[in-house]
Amino acid sequence: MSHLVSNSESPLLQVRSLKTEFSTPSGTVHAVRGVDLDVRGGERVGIVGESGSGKTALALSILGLIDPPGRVVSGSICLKGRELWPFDERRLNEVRGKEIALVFQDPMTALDPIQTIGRQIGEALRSHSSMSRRKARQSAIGLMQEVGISSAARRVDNYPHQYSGGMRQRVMIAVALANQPDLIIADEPTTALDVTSQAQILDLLTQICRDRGTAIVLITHNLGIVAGFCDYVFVMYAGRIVEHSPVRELFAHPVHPYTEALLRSVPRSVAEGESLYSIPGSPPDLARLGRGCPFAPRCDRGRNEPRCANEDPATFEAMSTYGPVMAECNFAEERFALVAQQGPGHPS
Amino acid sequence: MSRKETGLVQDIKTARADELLAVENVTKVFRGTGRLRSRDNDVVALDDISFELGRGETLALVGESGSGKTTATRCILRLIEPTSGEIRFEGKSILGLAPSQLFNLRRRMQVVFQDPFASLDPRMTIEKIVEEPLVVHRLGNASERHDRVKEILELVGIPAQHANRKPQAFSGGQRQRIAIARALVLNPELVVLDEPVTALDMSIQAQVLNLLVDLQVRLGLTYLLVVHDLSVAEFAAHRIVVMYRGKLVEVGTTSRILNRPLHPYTVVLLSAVPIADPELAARSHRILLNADSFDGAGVARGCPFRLRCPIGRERSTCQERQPELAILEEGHSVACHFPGELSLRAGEEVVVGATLDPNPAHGTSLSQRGAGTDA
Repeated sequence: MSHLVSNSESPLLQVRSLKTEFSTPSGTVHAVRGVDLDVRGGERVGIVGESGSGKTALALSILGLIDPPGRVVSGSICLKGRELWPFDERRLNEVRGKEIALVFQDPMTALDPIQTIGRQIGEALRSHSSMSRRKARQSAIGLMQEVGISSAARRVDNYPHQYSGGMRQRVMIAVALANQPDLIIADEPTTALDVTSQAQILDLLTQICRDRGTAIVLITHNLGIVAGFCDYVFVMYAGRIVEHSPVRELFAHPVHPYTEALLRSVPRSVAEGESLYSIPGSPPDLARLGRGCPFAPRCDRGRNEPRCANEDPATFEAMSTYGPVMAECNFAEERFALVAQQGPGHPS
Repeated sequence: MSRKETGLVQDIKTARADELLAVENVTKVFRGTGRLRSRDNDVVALDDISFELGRGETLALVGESGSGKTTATRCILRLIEPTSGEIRFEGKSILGLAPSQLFNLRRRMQVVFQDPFASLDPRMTIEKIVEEPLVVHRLGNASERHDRVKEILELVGIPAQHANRKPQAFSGGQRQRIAIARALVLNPELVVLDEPVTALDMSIQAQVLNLLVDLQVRLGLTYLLVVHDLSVAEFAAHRIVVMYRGKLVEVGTTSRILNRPLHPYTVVLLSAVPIADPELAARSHRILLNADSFDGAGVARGCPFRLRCPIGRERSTCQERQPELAILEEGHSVACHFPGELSLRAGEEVVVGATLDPNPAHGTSLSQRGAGTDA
């Protein structure tokens, strides 16, 4: 039971040194390059990064959904103390939907256009239990009500095209909830929606986490969403977790220069003639990663440091006001000390 | 001072004096497709909308999906015909134009679409893509066109030596730059930007927005910006038009709309913008609309927003009379019986695109005002 897990210290999901690669004609793309990730029961965790940083590849790797030419090369994926990798299809089918559910970005393509909404939610229910169609339809109505679809009894027989984008995403969440998973991984669940629907969906996910004790991993590039939704944040760059930290600590005192740069580039009002900050350069090609810190060429601090160009960045770990912090940066210790000196308040 | 206050349009009156585009009482009804062709199935996508756009100005059309933003821009570009009303470009009606006149007009109005992965032909080189409008309009010979393409690609920050690559070789942000180059190659006056950064990563959005503002200043462009994210409008727009179900509900300068929203729908939209600051996010007051936004049967009378309105749901005035768009203060109009009544509670102010910048050298934007309340 999820609420029991949330009280214990051992994580619900523990990923260690996970590596995922894709073989392409232009070389091997190292999409996930040794990721460690801990998710505790009932926790709301964010994974932030630009497109191509490996966020989605990480999520798919955890559920064994990487198809050739991609494969999980090494590592450990431990769910409630049981190892998932190397994958066993039968075990995975028990896990998928029942213990970990996935909500995709685009509810327009994730639903089958020629099946009724009720059938699709029912299918999720029936895949993990021997439930009759009639019983599944009834449960589907209950789930639809829970995710805030009014007149569910009437709408259960509608088709996806009769629903708006926000309502379809609610259906996807109902499908995810069908088997009472311990963990929902939501991959950019609101990117295809407008701001009002986005606020509603995030509110719904918050409620689910609070009422059912379901842990939620939210994958997004939007720092605004992370700030309002997550307890703990992992920042991903070039297939690595480059910083993780409690959400308040991350926004108040970003340790990694990449995190700081991301925070500075949020659109906002600026003075006449002034531009928004944008990170110079572009993310590295994951098929041609050389030595050194992958962010170094774009980094204000490390651009001209031979150490950053030639050696893998040092791992820095410390305890902050709000909880443990990790950053993969040669200057992390220095930057963190600076913050400690100034005390809590504003970053420098 | 923020860009909106000192921007090119300091005064609405000067904007009118140098008006580029005027939309007057435009209505667009999509006829229903029911078997009986009854009027019940008609969709009123635009309901008597009027606004004008000054030369060099950026006007943002803001609203949820289904509010009519895109229909409005399609009418202006004459990709569809409005059911009634008038649209004027430089004072001349564009609705009655003969095909050849329309063809010439299109040189002066261009569009950048939302998704640069869908809007660029994957089998054409980017040189061909950017050159195509010149070919269509029979401008210049091959070598002149080649030079112009090179020039415009450099202008948007794409190295000209990459001109013979295909779109797949470029990232999302670069593709959007190419789409912008294609729109600008004909030297248009009006550019319609339909959600130009929505499909892009947060970190790339800033680059593209900077480019658009820079090009506007350098080339004297006028932008009609369709956007649902108010933090983008806050950065880029001089004025904002808020649309709800085909109607204009609030029109005003960006600083007025963001600092003192008068329509409850605008307040709701502002409260829905995610705040990139956990402290503020935890304190801020979020007003959620009920989910069934389009279960709007029976809103034939009264205010179209009333069923979802936090303040008007039960009121008889709102049920009986449809509010008209009226000027409440200079440069600020609103269509509401109770303007300004709904605001976010003190200390829980609306914060758009809050920032971490500890030295707010950028005047008083909403973000700093919000952050300042706990200082």
